Amino acid sequence: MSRKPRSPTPPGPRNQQGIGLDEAVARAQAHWNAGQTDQAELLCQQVLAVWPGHADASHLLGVIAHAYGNLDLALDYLRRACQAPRAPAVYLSNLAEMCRQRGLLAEGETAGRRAVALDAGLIGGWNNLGIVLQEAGKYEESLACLERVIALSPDYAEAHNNLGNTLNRLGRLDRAQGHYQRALALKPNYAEAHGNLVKLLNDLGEPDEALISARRAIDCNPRHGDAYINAAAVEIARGRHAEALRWLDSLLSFAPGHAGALAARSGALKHLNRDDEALDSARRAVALAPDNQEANNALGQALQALGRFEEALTVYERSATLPSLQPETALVNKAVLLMEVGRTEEARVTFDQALVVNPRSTAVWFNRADLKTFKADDTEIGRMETLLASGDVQSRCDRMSLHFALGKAWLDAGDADRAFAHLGQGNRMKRAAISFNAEASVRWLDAIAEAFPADLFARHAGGGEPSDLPVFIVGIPRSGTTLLEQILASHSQVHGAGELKVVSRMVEQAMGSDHRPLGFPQLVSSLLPGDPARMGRHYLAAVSALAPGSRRVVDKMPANFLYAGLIHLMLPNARIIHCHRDPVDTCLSCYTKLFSDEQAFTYDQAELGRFYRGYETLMAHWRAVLPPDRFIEVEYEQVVADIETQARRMIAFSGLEWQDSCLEFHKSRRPVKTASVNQVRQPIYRGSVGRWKPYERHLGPLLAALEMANRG
Amino acid sequence: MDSFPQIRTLTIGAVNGIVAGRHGVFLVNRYDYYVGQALIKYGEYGEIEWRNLAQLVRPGNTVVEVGANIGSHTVSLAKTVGPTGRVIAVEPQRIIHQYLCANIALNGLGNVETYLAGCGAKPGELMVPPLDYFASTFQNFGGIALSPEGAGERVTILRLDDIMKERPVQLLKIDVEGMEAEVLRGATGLIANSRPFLYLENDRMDKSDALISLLWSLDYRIFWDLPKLYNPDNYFNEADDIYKNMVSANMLCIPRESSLSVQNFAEITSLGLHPLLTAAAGHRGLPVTPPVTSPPRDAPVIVTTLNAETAEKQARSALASGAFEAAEALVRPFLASGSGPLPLWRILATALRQLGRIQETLTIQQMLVDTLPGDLPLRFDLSETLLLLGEFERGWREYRYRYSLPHTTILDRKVQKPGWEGGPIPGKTLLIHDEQGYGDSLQFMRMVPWAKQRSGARVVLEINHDTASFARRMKGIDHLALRGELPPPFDVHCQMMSLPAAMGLKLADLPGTMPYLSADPARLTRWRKRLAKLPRLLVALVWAGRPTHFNDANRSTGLATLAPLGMDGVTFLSIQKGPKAAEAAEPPAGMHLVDLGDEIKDFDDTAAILSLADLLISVDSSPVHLAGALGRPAWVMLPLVPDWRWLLEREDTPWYPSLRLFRQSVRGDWTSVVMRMVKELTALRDRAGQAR
Repeated sequence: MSRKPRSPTPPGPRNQQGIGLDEAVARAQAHWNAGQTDQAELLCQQVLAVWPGHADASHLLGVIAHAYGNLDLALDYLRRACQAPRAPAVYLSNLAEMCRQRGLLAEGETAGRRAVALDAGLIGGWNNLGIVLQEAGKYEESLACLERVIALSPDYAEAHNNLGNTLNRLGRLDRAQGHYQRALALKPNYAEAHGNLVKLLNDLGEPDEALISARRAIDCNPRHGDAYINAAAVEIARGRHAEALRWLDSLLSFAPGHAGALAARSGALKHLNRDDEALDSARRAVALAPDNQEANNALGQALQALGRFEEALTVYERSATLPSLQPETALVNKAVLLMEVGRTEEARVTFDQALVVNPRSTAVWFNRADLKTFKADDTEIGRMETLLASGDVQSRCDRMSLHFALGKAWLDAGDADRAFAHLGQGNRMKRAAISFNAEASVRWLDAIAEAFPADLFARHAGGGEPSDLPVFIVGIPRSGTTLLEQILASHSQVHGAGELKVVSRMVEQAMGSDHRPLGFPQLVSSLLPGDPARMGRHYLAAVSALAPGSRRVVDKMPANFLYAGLIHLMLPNARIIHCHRDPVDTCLSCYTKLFSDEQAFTYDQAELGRFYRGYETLMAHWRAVLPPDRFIEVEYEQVVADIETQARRMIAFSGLEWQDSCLEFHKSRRPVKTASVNQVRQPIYRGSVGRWKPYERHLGPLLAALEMANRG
Repeated sequence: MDSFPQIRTLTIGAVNGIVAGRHGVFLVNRYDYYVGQALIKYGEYGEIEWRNLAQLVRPGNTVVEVGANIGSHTVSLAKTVGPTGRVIAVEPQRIIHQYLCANIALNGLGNVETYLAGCGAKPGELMVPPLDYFASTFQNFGGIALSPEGAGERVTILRLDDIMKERPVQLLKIDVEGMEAEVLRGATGLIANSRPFLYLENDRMDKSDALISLLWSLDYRIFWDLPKLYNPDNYFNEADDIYKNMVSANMLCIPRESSLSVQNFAEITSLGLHPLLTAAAGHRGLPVTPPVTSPPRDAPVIVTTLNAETAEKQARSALASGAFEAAEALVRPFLASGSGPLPLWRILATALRQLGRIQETLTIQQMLVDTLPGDLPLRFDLSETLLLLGEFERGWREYRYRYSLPHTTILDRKVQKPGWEGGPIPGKTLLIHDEQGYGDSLQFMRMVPWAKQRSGARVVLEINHDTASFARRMKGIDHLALRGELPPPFDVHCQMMSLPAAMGLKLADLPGTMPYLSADPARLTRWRKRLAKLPRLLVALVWAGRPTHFNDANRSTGLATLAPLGMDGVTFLSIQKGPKAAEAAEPPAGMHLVDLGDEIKDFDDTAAILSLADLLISVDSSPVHLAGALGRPAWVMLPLVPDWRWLLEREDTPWYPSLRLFRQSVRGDWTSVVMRMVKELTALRDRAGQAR
C-alpha cells in the first residue's frame, strides 16, 4: 500500500547571523525549485564549508539526495539539520517521513511527534506522523492524526489516501473506500490511490473492478509497484496463478530487486507446483529484505511445500518477531504447519498467540475450528458469530471463511439449521467468486472415457515404463483417500508422498509440435509409441527422489481419477486404488469444506451431485478397461467396519508383505496436508459413516441430483 | 545412351568415364543404372536428397557414411565438413570401394577415411554376392545385399562402435539395402553418446516397422524424406527424366531432445504405413505419389538448431552490425506461434523498424507495452513509432518517458513546481524550458506564444544560449532566461517538448503562423555584402548532422555523395559545421563550392545565409529547422526510416510549408535521392535562368 508524504517545503526567512549565508541558501532553494540541481548543490556546499552543519543547507542537501533516491545520505543530512537548536518543525516532519521510508519507525515516530509538538498547525507533520504510526500498527492513533489533517485541510488528496489505508487496516473497508474515492476526485491521476483501491475492491469481492483500478494505477504511473503486487494478489485469490505470475514478472522486469514481488512470486509458483522455483524466489526475497515478514513467510511456505518442515518452522518463528501489516500471518502459518505434522497441542497454543496479535484474524478462527469438536455452549461459537455480525470483518474472503468455520462448529454442536444457514452462505459466496460449468465438466468426463477405449491399451501394449514403484490412490475428495494412504504408508517399505500434481502438470504441459498445449484428453490421440514410457520416466524422476529406498511411493492426489487410463499407459505396473464411499456422505463432506485448492464443483449441491454422477460413470469405464491386478476399488465403509481385511487386501494388491504396523496408522507422525488433517489422527472415524441421514432435509438439491445418479 | 557426351565427360575404356559434375570430378561406371548413369546424364546424383541431407551438415562435423557406394555423396559431405571435419566412408563391395577411393583422390580430399567393410551388430564376416562390374549391361551396383552364406567374396563386418571408438559424430548416414537395423545395433554406444542425426534408407517394407520401432526406442523422432531422383534443375540441364518420377524412401531422424524443428517433412507417428506400400521393395526407387498421411507441402526445411538464448545473442550482434534482415530471420522461428520470449519480440520490433515496416513494429511494440507497462524505454520506443505514424495523441503521451531511458534519467530536471496541464492559469507565471538539441528548440519555439495565449499566464522562457537571439525577436515571451541562470520565481512549468502533450497538439494545428523566426537585420546586411558577388543560384549545403546524435550514421552522409549535384549555374555554399566541415576544402570536381564554414559564428549567421540563399539542401539537421522556421526553401534528404518528425511517405511536412522531403526508398541508398535532386535542381536552375 502506498502513502504520500507532504513534500518537503523550503524554510521560511530566518533571522540569524551571516546574511551572506542566508542569501546563499535562499538562492540554492530557488535553483532547486527551478530544477537546477548543480547550482543548488554548489551553493549548499559552499555554505557548509563556512558553517559545517548549517541547518538549512543540510536540510536542502537532504531533500536533494532524497529526490535522487539516495535515502541513506538524505537521512544523514536531515538528522544533522534537525540537531540544530532552532530546527523548524518542517525539518522534523521531513525526517519522520524519511525514517519511515527507511523502516526506522521508532525514530520516525519520535521525529514526527517533535514536529507537531513544535507546530501543532503543521498539516504535513500530522500527516507524516499519521503514516509512521500506521506502519507501526498503531492504527487508532494514526486515525486520529489523519482525521485531524483532513479536518484542517479537507482537499488534501494524499491525506485522504493515507486515511483510507489506516481504515483499511482497521477492517473498515466501506469508510476506506470513501476516502480513496475522495482522493481520486481531488487528484484523478493519483496512482497510489488507484493502487490501494485494487486490494480493497478485491476484498469486497470485486476482482474485475479491482483489476481495472490496477490498470488505471499503472497508466498513471507505470512503475507503481503496489499496483502490480495487488493485481497479482487478485489473481492468486481467484486461482489464476499464471496470470498472477505475469503481473509479477512484469514488475520484476523493471524492478528486479523488489522483495515484495519476489515473495508474492514465490507464492504463485508454489500454487503452480513449481516448488523449487518458489523456494528460489523466496530466498532471493529474504536475501534482499532479511527483516521483511512477507518475504520470510514466503520462504517458510516454500520450504513447507518441499516437505522441509523443521526449516520452515524455524523461519516462521523468526518471522513472527518481524513487523508486518498483518503481523499474525507468521503465527498462523506456523500453527497450520504444526497441524500438518500432527503437533496438535502446539498448534492450538500458536493459534491462540495469533489471536492475541489480531483478534479479528479469520485465518485463525477458520483453521482452529478444525482442531476441536464444538459443544453447543462453546463461547468461541459466540465470539465468531459476534465477529461476523460486528462489521469489523468486511472482506468477502474473511466473511466466507467465518461462515464455513461456523458451519463446522454448529454441525459439531448438533444445530443443523444454523449450520446449514452458514454453510449455504459460505458456499454461495465461494461459488460466486469462481467460474465453473457443471454441464461442460460432465461432458469432459465423458470425453475422457471415450478417449480411452479398450483397444487403445492393446495398441500401446508393451510400451510404458515398467517400474512398479508408484501406487495411486484416486477418488473424489473427502472419500477417505487420506485414510487409505495412512494405512499404506504405515508399511515400512512404503512412502506416502501426499497429493502430488506431477501427473496433472505433465498433462497441462504436454505440447504439440506447434508449441501449443494439446489439452486432455485430446493429447491421447497424439501419443507416439515412445511417449507413454517417456511420461512414465518423467513421473518416476519426479517421485523417486522423494523416497529413496522405498519399494512403493503412494500418490494420493484424488483428482488423478481423471488420468487413471493415462497412468496405466505410461506406468503399466503402477497400482491404482480407487477409494469409494457413500455418495451422499462424500458430497456432504465436500460441501462443508472450504478447500485451499480449487475444487470448483463442491460449492453448489446440485452441481456437486451432477459432477459426482459423471465421476461414477468414468470410474465404471476404468473398471471395465483396466486390468484387475492393476486397478482395485476399496469401499471406505468396509475399511471402517473391518480395517484388517481391507488393509491386507491393499497391501497384497500392492505386492508387499503384510506388516502389523498397517493397523496402527494413526500413530504415524507423517505430515498430512489435506482437508482431512485432523481426522486421521483419530483411531477410526466411525462417525463418518451414514453421516448425512440427520441432515436429509438440508440436502434436497444434492439428493435430487444424486438420485438420478443412483437410478440412472 | 551408348556413348559419353564428349563435352563434359572423358571416356576411359569400355565402361568407365570421368565426369566433371556439380560437386566434383567422378570416376563412374556407365553401366551403373543409378549413380553412374545419373552422373553422366545430369552431372549429379541424388541432388534433391543431398540438399535435404546438407541441411544437417556443418563445417567441422564428423560424418559417418555407411554404404558410401562410389562416393557421390561422400565428396559433397567431405567438401561441406571442410578441413576441420571428417568423413568416415564404409563400403563393402571391393570394386565399388576402389571407385570410392578414386573419387576421393580425384577431388583432392584429405579428410576422408575409407573402410572396405560392412557394418553390423557384431564383428564377423558376410558374403558379397558375385557381380561382374565390367559387363556392358545396366546393373544396380548399389542394390547389393550382404548375406551370411552363398557365393561371392567374403567381407569383414565391423561394429561402428569399434570403428569410431569414443569419437563424437554429428551425422550418421546409412544406405545398406535392408541391414540398417543391424548397423544401428552395432552403433548403440555412438548413438547414446553423440546423439547424431540419422539419415537412413528405408525401402524394405518387410523390415520397416522393426526399424522404425528400433529408432523410437533410441528416442528419435522420424520423418519421411522422399526425394525424387530426377532434379529438373540438374547440372547438365537435362530435361529427360530417365527415372520416371522415382523417389527414394529415406528417413530423417532427429534426437527427440534436440531443439531442432523440422518443417514440411511428414513425421512418422504410426507403424504399417510405408509410403511404398503398393509396390514390391528391392530396388532403389519407385514411381509413386507417396501415400503418406500428411504429405510435405513445400520443400522440406530443417529449422535452425539454435535455442532461444543463442538466437537472441546472435540477433543482437546482427542488429549491432546493421544486419536487420538477418536479425529478423534469427528470431522469427521462435515467435511463429504468436507467443515467445519477450526479448526476441523486442529484437524483432527493432529490426522491423529499421527495415521500414512501421505498422508491424507498432503492433509488436503495443503488445510489449501491454505486457510490460513499467518498461519505460519500451514506451519511449512506442512513442517514436506512434509519432512517426502521425498518431499524435497517444504518441505525445508516451513521449513523456524520454527521460526514463538509461542514458537520459540523469538529464531529467527535477523542477519542484507542478507541471502545466494545458489549462488557463491567469495571473500565474509559467516557466517553459527547452531541452535536447537545437533543432528541437527551433521547431517547438513556435508553441511558446501558443502556450501564452492558452494559459493566460506570464511566460518565462528558459533557453539555450545559441538560439536565444531568435527567442528575443519573437513575440509572446514575457521574460527570457538563459539555460543555467536562475529564472524569476514561477508557479508552474513545462518542458518545451511537453507542450504538445499539455496542449493536445494535432497535425491540423500545424504549422501555425509562418514564419515564426526571423534573421538579425545587421547580420543580413553583412551577409548580403559577402554573398553579393557570387553567381546565383545560391544553394546552401549541409551533409552531416551532429555526430553524437544516436541516429547520425543513418541521417548523415558525405560531401562526395552530393557530387552529382555539381552543375554550371549553381553556386554551392557550404554551411557545414563540425568535424565534417573539412570536406568542403576539397569539393568534388564540377561543383562550385564556397566554403563559408569558418565564417559562420552562430545560428544568426546561418539564418542570414539561409534568408539570402535560393535554397538549402541538407540532411536532417538543425539548419533545416532554421530554414523552415524562417520560411525559406529547403530540400531535406531523409533516410528510409527518418526521425518521427518527418512522418512517412509524404514529400512535404506539416511543420514547415517551405520544405520538401527527398526520402530514401532503399535503406542506405543516397544515390537515388541525390539523382532525384539533380533532376529537380536542374529544372530549378533552368527556370531561374529564364527568369533572369
